[in-house]
Amino acid sequence: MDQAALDFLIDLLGRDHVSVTDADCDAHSQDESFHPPHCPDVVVWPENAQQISSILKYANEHRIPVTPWSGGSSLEGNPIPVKGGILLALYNMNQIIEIREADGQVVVQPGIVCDELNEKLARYGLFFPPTPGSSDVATIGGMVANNSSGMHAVKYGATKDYVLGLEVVLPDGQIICVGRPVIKSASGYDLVRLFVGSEGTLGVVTEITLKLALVPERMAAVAAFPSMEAAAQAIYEINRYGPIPAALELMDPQIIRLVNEWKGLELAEAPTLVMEFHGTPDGIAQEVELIRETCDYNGCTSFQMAANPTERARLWEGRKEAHNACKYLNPGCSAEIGDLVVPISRYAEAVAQAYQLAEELGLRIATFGHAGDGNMHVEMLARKDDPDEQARAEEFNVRLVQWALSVGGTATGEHGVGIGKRQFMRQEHGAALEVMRAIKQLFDPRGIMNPGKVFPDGE
Amino acid sequence: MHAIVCIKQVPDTTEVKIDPQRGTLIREGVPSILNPFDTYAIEEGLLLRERFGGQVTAISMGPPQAEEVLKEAIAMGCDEGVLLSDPAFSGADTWATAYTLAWAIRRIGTFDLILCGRQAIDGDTGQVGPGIARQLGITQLTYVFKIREIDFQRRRVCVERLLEEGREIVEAPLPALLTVLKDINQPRVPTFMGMRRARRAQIPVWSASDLAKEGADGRFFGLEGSPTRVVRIFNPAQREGRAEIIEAEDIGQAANVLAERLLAEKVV
Repeated sequence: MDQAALDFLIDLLGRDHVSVTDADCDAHSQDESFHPPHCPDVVVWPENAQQISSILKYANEHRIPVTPWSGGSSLEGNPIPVKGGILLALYNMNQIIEIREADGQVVVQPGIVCDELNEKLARYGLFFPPTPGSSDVATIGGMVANNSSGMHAVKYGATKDYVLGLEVVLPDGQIICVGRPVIKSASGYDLVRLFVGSEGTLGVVTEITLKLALVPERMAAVAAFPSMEAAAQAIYEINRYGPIPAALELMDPQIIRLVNEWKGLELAEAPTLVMEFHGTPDGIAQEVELIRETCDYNGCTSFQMAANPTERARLWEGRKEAHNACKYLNPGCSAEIGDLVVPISRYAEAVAQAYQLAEELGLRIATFGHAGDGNMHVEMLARKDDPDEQARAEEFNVRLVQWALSVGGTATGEHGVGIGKRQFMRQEHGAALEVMRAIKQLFDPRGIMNPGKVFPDGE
Repeated sequence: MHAIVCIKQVPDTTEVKIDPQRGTLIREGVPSILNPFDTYAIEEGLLLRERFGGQVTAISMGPPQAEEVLKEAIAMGCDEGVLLSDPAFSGADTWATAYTLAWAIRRIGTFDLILCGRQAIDGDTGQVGPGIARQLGITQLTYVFKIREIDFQRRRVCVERLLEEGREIVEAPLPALLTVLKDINQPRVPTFMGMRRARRAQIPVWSASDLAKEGADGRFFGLEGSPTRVVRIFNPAQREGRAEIIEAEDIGQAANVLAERLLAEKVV
């Protein structure tokens, strides 16, 4: 990047908000994924949409790549500035602009962390439901960019279902507002949904209007099963005959063994369902009773329940720590995490498929995931100093995703395409990929926004 | 079981800015919230009620709008709230506040436990809880991070206190006053069921004359009853920091030099 560009940025933002130091560039070179780091040429910390508009206008004129970054907790390399250029750090734009209590809405800047938003909303009895497992660090801006969701998607859906409006800075510097702060609208193309999940490739989101939900009463339950088949049968019956819980998570014995070791827990090393129920006390009591009956019928060996938050957190701890357990108990290994989704009727088959493939390729894996919405995570543990094992992990990932696509699934449920899932875009979307390219071309003809993401190379 | 939880409405200090000239807080436009430390006291009361049954009463002293935090306590699950509000109470320091709250607690009647947060985030003194215990002549257990055992028949409570030098396990007779730390539990957030109850809840407001009827001495309320006088508010002088880069042959030697420096500076 030339000095003129740096001078422009310093003039615009002030010296304190522009950095080319190794420390700052390093800190914005890698997310939580296994993808290799890549440093930007400069890190900038803008404070408002107007500044971002000026930056994009300049970058567009001079064809400088711009990569937005808010929390850096993504799992597919989504904010890694693979083409260098300007790293747009948005996490200082972290204010709540307005809480509209009576409308059940909140207007926020992109940098606010999901858990911090929900803490601020708690006193109003309102919350933003699609919390990912990383909600303590994930920002709302990043969640919008990746259409994130988490364990409660089975009841509440994903981020896309809560975004009512966005202020977006387009690559040419134009600032537009899309959507209206209402529950329904039949007016024109749904540009909100176009930007949600676009991973910063179409523009920079600077303000977000979210729909909120009423905080329900909650109950957590954990059921252990003698075999994966028994657990799978219970999942099938719950999904098919109800009642549908607010969360329905399956952990395999391998992942239970890892979290026991990691957190000193004493969970039975058995296929385990972790569930949550939301609603009124009487409604929850009935739902739990019906689910318990289903679990018992399918041979469950233990069924624990908890209502207060302290006890609920204890039941959830194992599931919440699953990824960390894989990561920290296997130093020297890359813990690549898969994120495929299959139709819920194929969920148990997906788990079986993963283990069959792992055996065939001689690979260590563990699975956990959202059995209620068909989203399975697979941790592939491959030693970094073993190129052969790394290659087998890659082959495993490709073959498993291809299998998921062949049964009507998708390559990513909540982590986004980023770098790692680009190779599946053609297979998943076919001719629709060209429509996506045309949209990208319309918004960003010079290709400055988060280049190297979403679209496959060399086509 | 009857637990009384003392709570306070405070400015959201995460939103407070400081007037650089006068060194005072700019309170205009700052939202008021339930003191975050008090939510742990409320939660502990609710957990005890889940185990033993009974009642949790929230009490607060403040201007009429402090009713909001009592409604929030009811939304979390408290059974009742009582607001002490009277111009005569205003300007109270920690002693007068403790005096007033203690008389209100006498008026409430019998109880097993009084629960308070460790301190309020605005005053940061941590004195009101212990002050109430002293006024009522009951045992105070501060910095509690775990209730190990509580026996309402034998009238005993055993708690773990988190102190700078370690953990302390102490047993005391009931009734007792506990100030709790945030490690003690994870507070629940108000649900829509709680919000529905809170919306319709009637919060009785007790005045200076209500407490005087119980025997309180009106001369000890509010600013007049406060021995504390604020003489001046100022920002302490900023300490100058300075950086030093330790040069050494290798990492091991650098670590030795660093360790020696830290010991010399009494940092470790």
